[in-house]
Amino acid sequence: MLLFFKSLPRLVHSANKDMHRHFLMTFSSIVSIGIALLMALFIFVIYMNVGGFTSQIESEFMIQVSLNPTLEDEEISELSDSISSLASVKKVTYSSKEEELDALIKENGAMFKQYKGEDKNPLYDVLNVELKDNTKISKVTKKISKMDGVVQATYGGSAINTMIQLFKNIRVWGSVFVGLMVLIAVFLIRNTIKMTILVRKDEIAIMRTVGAYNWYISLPFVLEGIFIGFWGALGPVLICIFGYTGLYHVMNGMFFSDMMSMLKPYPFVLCTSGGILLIGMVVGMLGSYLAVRKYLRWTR
Amino acid sequence: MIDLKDVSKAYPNGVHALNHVNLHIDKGEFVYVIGATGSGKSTLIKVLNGEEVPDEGAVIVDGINVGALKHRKVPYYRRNVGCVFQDYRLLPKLTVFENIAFALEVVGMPRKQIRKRVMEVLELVDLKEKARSYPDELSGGQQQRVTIGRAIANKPKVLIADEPTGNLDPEKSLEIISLLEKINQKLDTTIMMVTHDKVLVDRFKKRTIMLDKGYVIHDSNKGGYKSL
Repeated sequence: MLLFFKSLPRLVHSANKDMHRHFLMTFSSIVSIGIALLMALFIFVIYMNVGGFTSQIESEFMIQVSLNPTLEDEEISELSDSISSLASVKKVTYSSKEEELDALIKENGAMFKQYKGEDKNPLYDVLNVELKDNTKISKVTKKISKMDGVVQATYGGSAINTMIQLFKNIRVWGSVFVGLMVLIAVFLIRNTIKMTILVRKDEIAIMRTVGAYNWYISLPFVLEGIFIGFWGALGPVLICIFGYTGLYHVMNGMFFSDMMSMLKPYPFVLCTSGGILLIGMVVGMLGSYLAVRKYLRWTR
Repeated sequence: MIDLKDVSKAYPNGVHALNHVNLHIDKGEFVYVIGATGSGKSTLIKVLNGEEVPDEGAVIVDGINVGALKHRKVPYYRRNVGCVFQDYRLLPKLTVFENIAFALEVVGMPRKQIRKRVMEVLELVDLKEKARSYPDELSGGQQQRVTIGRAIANKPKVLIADEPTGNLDPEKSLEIISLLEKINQKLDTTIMMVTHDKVLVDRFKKRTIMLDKGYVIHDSNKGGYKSL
């Protein structure tokens, strides 16, 4: 262990020398890992920012059943029970029209306060129906709206559906693309390290004969991989730190409308940058590990 | 120092490189190993420095059973065994000093000690004034002396020389053999020298072991080809 720390400068130096030796290979590895991480960064930033938005929408995946004002309490609970007994219904909660109005005021501001008071409230008492499976939402809504005492049964509608589907697609295909780029990066790094190993073959043979430990021989290559990952991640990290912060200020902290507010740059930017650096270095290490395992394996 | 007990080694292609070899070499001995190509000399070296594991029998060097060594212990063991090759195997981009220092660096010796030890070694192999030269600026004999210097830098107990004079003219060969003798006497290093050089074996008579098809067919203390 002591030997490890004592020889670390020497090993780092050796790794650096090797990176200069195959500058083009090293450079292309750095670029490919950089592109992969940049894509990952964009997708992650969008995902994180949209994440809050979608969960907001998903909570609206609820059927709102407006009740005929003439219904007695008993009839309401009967209706509630019969909705509960439908398959795929999870929960039914009652909310009076006063509660609905309070919620409306809370969400959209004081201008709705004018409806407060006896006989001014234009809203209905409602039953909020949550589903076990959101894909059945239109069927269940149809069924409920045919029940007695129901004025109207509504849900967010198809616009929300397509939006969520779109975000999901971005997420899925983006992840697939990032995964592919990472794979390419690993492969390129593996080849870079392989070239270095081949060039240093004689040196390695001599190291073996004079009794260098295996880790001493292979560590510079692993370090080289980590450095490549680090340099590759540096670009995306800078873009993340300055780009996101700048964007946040330019857009005044929101996308298009205040319905989609952006996450505050700090600490989000720092955490993301740290994550990207880490991923880059891990990917670099993985690539070099694969090369070392294949080309430096020593058996007898 | 070196004990081979009924050692056999066959390769996957069916070649029996060593057959029931029994050898005992004392500490501080200087022995020649001779034999035609394919007689098992190289395999003998490989089982000694831990590159190959014998199929049968035991190879014991300085009390260590080489064949039974765990994989990760082999590098440490190798520091006991210096190796010199016919083709020198020096690093062309490093100077003489750096080439010798390299062997000490990779085993983690501190820089100050390395400097001291390399100067000692250069003194011994008589190349002090060439410390800053690169291998391609040296003659074959000088390069081989650098290799020997590198092999003994770690103070190994055994020095194995695989045809160290194979690429050298007779005059330079004498230089090498007298250097090896010096190391043998001064440092009490056990030396095993594999060679084809009849003149040398006859002139500097030492214990001579002859291999043929993996068998030890002669082991004579008188030395020289004629005694065989």
